[in-house]
Amino acid sequence: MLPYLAYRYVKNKREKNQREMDNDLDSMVRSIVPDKPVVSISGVAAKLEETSREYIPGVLSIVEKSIGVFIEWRPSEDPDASSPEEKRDRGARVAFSMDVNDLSSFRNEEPKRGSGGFPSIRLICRDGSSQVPLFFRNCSTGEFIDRLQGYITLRRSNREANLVIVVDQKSEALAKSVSMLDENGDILSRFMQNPYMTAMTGFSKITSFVQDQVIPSVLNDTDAVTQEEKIRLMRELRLAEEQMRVHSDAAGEFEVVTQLDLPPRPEIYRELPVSKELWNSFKLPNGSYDPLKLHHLKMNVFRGGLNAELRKEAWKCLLGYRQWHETDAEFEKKRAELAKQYQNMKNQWMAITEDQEKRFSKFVKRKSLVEKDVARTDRTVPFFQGEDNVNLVHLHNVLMTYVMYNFDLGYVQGMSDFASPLLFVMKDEVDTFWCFVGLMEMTHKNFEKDQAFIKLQMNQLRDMVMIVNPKLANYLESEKSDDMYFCFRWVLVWFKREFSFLDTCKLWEVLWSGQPCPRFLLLICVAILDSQTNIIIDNQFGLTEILKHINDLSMHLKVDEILTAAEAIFHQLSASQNKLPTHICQYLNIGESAVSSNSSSPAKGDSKDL
Amino acid sequence: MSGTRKKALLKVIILGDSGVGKTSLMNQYVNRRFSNQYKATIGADFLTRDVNIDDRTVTLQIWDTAGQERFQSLGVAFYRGADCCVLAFDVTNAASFKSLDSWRDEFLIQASPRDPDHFPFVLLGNKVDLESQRAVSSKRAQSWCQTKGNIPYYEVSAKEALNVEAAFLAIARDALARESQETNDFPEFPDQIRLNPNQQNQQNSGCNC
Repeated sequence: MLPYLAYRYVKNKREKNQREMDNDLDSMVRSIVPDKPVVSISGVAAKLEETSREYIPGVLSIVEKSIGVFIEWRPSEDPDASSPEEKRDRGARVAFSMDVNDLSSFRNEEPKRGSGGFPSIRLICRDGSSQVPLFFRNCSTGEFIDRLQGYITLRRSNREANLVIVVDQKSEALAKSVSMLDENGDILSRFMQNPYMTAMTGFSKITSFVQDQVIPSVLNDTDAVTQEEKIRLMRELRLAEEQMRVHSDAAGEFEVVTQLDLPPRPEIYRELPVSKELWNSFKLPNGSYDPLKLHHLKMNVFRGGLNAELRKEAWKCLLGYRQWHETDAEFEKKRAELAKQYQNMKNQWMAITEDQEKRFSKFVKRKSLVEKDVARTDRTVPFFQGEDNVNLVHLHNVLMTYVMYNFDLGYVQGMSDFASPLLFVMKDEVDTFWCFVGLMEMTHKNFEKDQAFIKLQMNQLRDMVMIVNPKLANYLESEKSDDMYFCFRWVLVWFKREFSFLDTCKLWEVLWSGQPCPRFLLLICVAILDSQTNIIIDNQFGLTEILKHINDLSMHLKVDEILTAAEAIFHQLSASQNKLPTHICQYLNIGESAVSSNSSSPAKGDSKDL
Repeated sequence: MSGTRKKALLKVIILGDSGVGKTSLMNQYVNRRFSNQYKATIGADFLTRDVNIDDRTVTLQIWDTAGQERFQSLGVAFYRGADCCVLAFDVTNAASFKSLDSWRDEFLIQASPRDPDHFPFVLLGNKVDLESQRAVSSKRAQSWCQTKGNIPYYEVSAKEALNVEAAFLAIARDALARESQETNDFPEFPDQIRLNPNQQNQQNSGCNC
């Protein structure tokens, strides 16, 4: 491996000099050679959101330019100008022109038979970003891919048929593998100083077998190893890494753990949303809910979510604003009392004068944050659109009153994301406020100053990925991404930024059901990460690219698929609870340590633990 | 076809109080677009744009971060390896100007560049289109910059696309110039592999290859 690295080092230096000479030539050429479109495919439409029915028609082309070959997508010039300007603007926003050399891979999906869908391609770039998914409405993706092959070598991922990888030149691939082990790319200088230690730390993710057998052979055999041989070795290292699961214990020594074989994932189907009739069948004549059927009711919510018309009533219960055992009369009485309390707290902040504010900086700080965030929360959702929208005033009032309700916590960014769907469903300030209080009971720890609870959840998430998908867990560790920071947004606001407004409502009510286990939110994270394993690994994404890739999944995730996958993973874990480490059982409240909850208001009880 | 040539990558981190316009500045520069409805940033994200400087193509990777302090400590891994830190404030909001010191300190602590006194910062005073509401004078901002080792200062408007292009171009130029001097802003070895302090010294002494 050494001579190769030395060779790269010298080669890079040479290339640098060459580059300077090229530059002059380059600018000259650029001015005289016109762009040459090689292929233009019309009827290729972009889809901005998974749940959107709108396709933005456009043209996908491959263009040879003096500076390289580019893949471009532009929205079509509208034949009838009746198309709203807004739509054209949305198309312009996702138009792109990218160097083929920046392409790392793409997902090529064929529609399910008879679904009426179109074949699609989503291009994934080397920096981890993804272009908008493109749907081929008039033709197959074949021609585009064939033409692309004229410039880059493609191969289908062995692990995932829909994933097509751009294969680098062999030398590039090896260089990448080496630099994967060393972020700073200075493995060479470290080898020079302390070859053995460097190898050990650099390859720390690799099994002891490989450390003992393979690395010494590489290090000793410094001169005669051909490039092909090195590539083969690198493959072996990877293979060995995949087959074994390694983790370091507290003392920092490496321990080889046999991989836990989970049973196959069961096939799960989502049920229909709970209807008003079904919901009412769980009620007693006085309006309270039959305590014996409560679990059944919650399982129904978990399996299908709620009909939109039912949310106003059901969310109050799921969020603990209304207790399950409360009769209609009891709840109405309480509601009137809470309305008064709300008004009192609202009056408190409304009474603070400008003069007082001069000496009340903590209040002013919170107020200014609320104002800034209300102005930019879900403004594309019709309910919050337009200037002088009265719903913005309600949202502002709810959040300001919460500041008085819990001044220690105050207002923290992300809270407006939690409040807005509640207002959208409740359409009433007071009800929204008390539902928000219930929701904050479940989530307030996410917003604490020390962020300890976020860190705890990240650790638990990592532990679960380790069990469910050790290959991915090891890869993330090798890329220094095992702090799982890239899931921060998911966990902080419960996927609010990843799904459309309505999908978020569905996801949240499923989570509020508290079924089938605490920390189901983290199992959803596991399910999504699991689905991205091959993309992350086959593209050899590092710390930065992983974050970008995860961020770019936003609005392109399928909520039902993810929920079924998360539930299936739960069943897998649950079925092997005897073999699971105790901490995993504790997170999910399964196995011997499971605590049965017989509380009459489990939503609230569970929430403490969510 | 010269596309295979390696492009220089410059990593730029934008820091500043919530609502000063960090996301807007990044989007104006990269996508030449403005919206006053960008959601509050949660976590971290970046956008890239290629620029040609003296006939060299440079990829600017611009990082946008959350403006509330409590979220800062989690994203530190991404501060590492920054080539420039852009501090942003809102010229109509004096409080956002007062926070600059703590943002600068925070960055130096978290990213721990090798030579904190000479790490390149740039100050952007955003929202100059709202001149009538200005609360921080250009002079005040400039004198703050002087006390921090002559940080370059640009008054910009992400909304009106005023000076944004020029500011980022200057940032790229400056960072590129430093790169060619082969300045290394960060210790070569991340904490994880520092075995003990003595060994670290030895490692940092550089190699003779």
